[in-house]
Amino acid sequence: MRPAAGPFSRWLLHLAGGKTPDVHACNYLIEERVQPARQSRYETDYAGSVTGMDAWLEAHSDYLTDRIYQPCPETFTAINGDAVHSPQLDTSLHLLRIERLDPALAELGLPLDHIAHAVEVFHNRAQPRDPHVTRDDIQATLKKLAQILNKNPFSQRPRFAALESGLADEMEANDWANRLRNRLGLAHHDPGVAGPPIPVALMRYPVQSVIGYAKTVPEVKHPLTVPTVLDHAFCEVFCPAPKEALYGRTMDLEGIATGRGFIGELLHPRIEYAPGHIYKVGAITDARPRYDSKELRELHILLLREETERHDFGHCDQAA
Amino acid sequence: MTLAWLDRFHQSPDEALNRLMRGTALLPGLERATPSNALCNLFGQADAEDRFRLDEALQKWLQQRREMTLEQRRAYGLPRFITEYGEGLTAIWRMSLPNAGRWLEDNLLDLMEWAWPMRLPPVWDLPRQVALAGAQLVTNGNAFRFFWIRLCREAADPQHEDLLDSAMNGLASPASNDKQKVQGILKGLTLWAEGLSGDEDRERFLLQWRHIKARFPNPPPFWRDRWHELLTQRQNQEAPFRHWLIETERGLDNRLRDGNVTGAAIRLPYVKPAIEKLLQRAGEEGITRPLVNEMLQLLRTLEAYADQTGDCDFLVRSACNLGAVVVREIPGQALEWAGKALSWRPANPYAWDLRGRALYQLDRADLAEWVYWEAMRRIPESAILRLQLSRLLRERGALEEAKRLLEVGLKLHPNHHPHRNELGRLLAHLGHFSNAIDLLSGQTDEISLYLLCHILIAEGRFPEARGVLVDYRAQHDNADNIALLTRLLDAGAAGQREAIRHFTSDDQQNFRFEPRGRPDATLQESEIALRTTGHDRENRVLAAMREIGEVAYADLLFQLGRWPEAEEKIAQRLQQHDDDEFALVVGALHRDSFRDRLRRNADALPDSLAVKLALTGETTSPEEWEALEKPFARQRHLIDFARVVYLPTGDAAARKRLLHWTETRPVAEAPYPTFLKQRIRDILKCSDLRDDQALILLHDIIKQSVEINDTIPMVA
Repeated sequence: MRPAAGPFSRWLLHLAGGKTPDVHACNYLIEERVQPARQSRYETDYAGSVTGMDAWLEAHSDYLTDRIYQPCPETFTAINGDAVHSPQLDTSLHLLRIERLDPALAELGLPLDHIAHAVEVFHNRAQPRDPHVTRDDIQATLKKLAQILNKNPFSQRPRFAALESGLADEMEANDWANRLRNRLGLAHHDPGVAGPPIPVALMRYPVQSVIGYAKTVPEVKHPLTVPTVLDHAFCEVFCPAPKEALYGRTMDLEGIATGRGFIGELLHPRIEYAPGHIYKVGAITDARPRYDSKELRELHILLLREETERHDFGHCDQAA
Repeated sequence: MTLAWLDRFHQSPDEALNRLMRGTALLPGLERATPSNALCNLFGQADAEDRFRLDEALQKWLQQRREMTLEQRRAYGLPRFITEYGEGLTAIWRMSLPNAGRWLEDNLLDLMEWAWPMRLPPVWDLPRQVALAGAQLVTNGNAFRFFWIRLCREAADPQHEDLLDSAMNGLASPASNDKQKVQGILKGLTLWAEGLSGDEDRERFLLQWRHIKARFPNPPPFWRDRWHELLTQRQNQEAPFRHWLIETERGLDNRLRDGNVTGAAIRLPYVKPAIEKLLQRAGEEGITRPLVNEMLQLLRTLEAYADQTGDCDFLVRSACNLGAVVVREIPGQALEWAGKALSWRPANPYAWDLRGRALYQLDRADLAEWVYWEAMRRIPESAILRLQLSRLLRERGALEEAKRLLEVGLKLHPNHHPHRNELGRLLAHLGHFSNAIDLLSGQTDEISLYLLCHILIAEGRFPEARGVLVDYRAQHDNADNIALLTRLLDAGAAGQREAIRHFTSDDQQNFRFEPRGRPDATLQESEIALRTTGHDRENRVLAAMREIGEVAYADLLFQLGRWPEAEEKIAQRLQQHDDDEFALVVGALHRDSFRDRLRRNADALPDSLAVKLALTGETTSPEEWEALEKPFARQRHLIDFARVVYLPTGDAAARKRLLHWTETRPVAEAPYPTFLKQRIRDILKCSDLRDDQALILLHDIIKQSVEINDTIPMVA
């Protein structure tokens, strides 16, 4: 995405062309799915006169407030047509998300293990521990948990979700929460070395439910899109995918050296969770891997080039 | 990794925190974290000094944000504002920040009042965040019991149901063991469930109850004992939730199932005899300090009972009754009791009336008038509030306005004798004797007959007056009145002149709102009055009521056809607050120019049914009506009513739905829906729906559904 000539363009190119290229500037320049009309609006109304990082963050935040953190983010409207996911996507596939549970547990007044057990009983993976608590009672608790998650104000933002395929081992592992955090590139779920575990839920729901729910919002034209640099706050563990890729790609925090494949990621509008969507509940206990973000990113881009045979992709100096 | 931000925080904590809260800080690795998660990550292992700095900066940030005006918040983006403020509150309790926590506890009620209108479905809900933070942080649980009890009740409205968990947790928070905690939570559940009645409500109740069972796994005898006490309480005996519970829980024993419960119910004080005794002594001895002390003691006992059981009816009624007895001698004390009653029951018209009367007795008739305006907007079904306001207007010479209020009141409450009599008296004062006679003829209550006879004398219709006097004498035995009317009749023309003078003179004595009392210095009244009227909070509330009252007054002027005056008042209000919802709605109900202005502002008020309804009319298309039904499904009856009023012959389906709604059982303790059902049923029976009555009621509904912004407290 080449910015229109002007102060923003000059500053951005300078930032990307330095000895240590700025990751956010690079992401902007290598982005390939933002339509000209969308880019033009972003630069005309928000970032056009920006020549410093603080100002860019402010302008980007204003853009997100006006255009993205809305009942219908422009991510899912006609103006984002170039980022639409392939219509051939199998709607019976499942999507995964990790949701933090700290405030929800406080609101429900429940400890994590209580909810975790309830989820296991709900999915028939365990029997109720207490003979006086019925399945109906347990379902009620999970319904309330889903209601609370549905009230999360951040849920109105475009939802990052990963495609389930390729994650079976992680999902069934005892330390699934740590492993999925790493595979899905969720660096922000980091308890640190000595911090308390982070309670999380693994949400699993079919693509069809997203499409069905999106139909209830008339403004939504494209319920599944590939994430672009304009759809969320700047993030160092995000890298746009080349336009040839069917999905976005999560950035594996453990890096490519492990030899694992990419995980596809998409954005979709807010959906209403139901108890059945809460697949597992547990805790992220380990600090996130101490990655070198520059190395991690370079390896990620390398693999993207190989996968899509786009060997010119991701050279932000060339894009500039 | 995030050192740059931490360096910035060390240099300028306020600025750095502001950037983080607003999502404009560069936090490598934490960019996707919510602000509270980011703070937990950054300061979870921080040293005491850094945590102290954060504590101070966050408190300051929350206070500064609190000072943003409505316009500033809207310009900033309400969803963004609500999200960020909620994150600030969340950070306090998740990180156990002591100073900010104390600040929140000290300001919990004010914060809730301010946050109350900041709710944008489906996800932005600041009251919920305030309640959650309060339930997590408040350590002095007993001092806030009335607040949690109130929230439990408010949560019966599905729009506010998300407050329930926090309110129940708040009620349970002072408990020292699990049994007490469960008891607190069940108490909250029953208070909430008292407001439920339909099939959907049954499912809502069972969901909450089953969750509680799952949260506290226990055998049936445990639950039987907990429920035993609650189900025996007076207010729960007939509540539908009792049946839902018993149908579902086979483990509850037969005594509960049959309703033959005995034993552990909390004993009520003997309220009625105690009040009667106090009233009798007040009559015999006058208001003395020992008597007031006894009243205070009784109210303290009733408040303790309300705290324990959530049943505040005795407290509220007693505070209003005793307040009415002492209001002339110790209006400051009465004002305090009115405030107490309103803190438990904000829609109690008698408590609002006591508040208005007390202010009047404190020589603040101006404030009293604003209190009545707001009370009438909030509780449009109350005849007494409308009547009292008309008396205040009459006292200050606003006779035309008073007359209009009474005329409308009489349409809404055709059997309310005081309204009819007051209007008759006012018509007579204006010299419209024959109109007054028409109005009062055929009534049999004592005052109507007396007035009719008196006005007939003033009109010189002596034979008819004699006939009415015969009726009066036969039915009532007020010797003074009989003597007066007889004397006037016997005096002939002189009696007529005297009667005319009586009704038409401008003697202030005839136009008193009520007789002034003589405060007794020995009752330390001045000290109490100072405490109650000098309080910042009370002053803030009254100032806000004045602003709303001006708009409500403008509405009345519109109704009187005094458009220039009315428009000027609305314009003045909009000059101060250009997006004042109440002013825009009232203006739009009467003038196209304000209607256009409201239409331009409508996007900023997406969840306001009042705004949507104020913009409807005869030209509203079926598609536009249907578009309203989805977001406001729970208020579909109000939409249907507007539809029927504007299209009286053209919408059979809406009319049918509306009729069905009027036949369903209203939610317990909800006088407004009960009143609406009755009135709408009456109106639907009329052949012409385009008459005044339907439109007046529709306007009342629209005005009542305006959620006044942050100036009017939920805790009145």
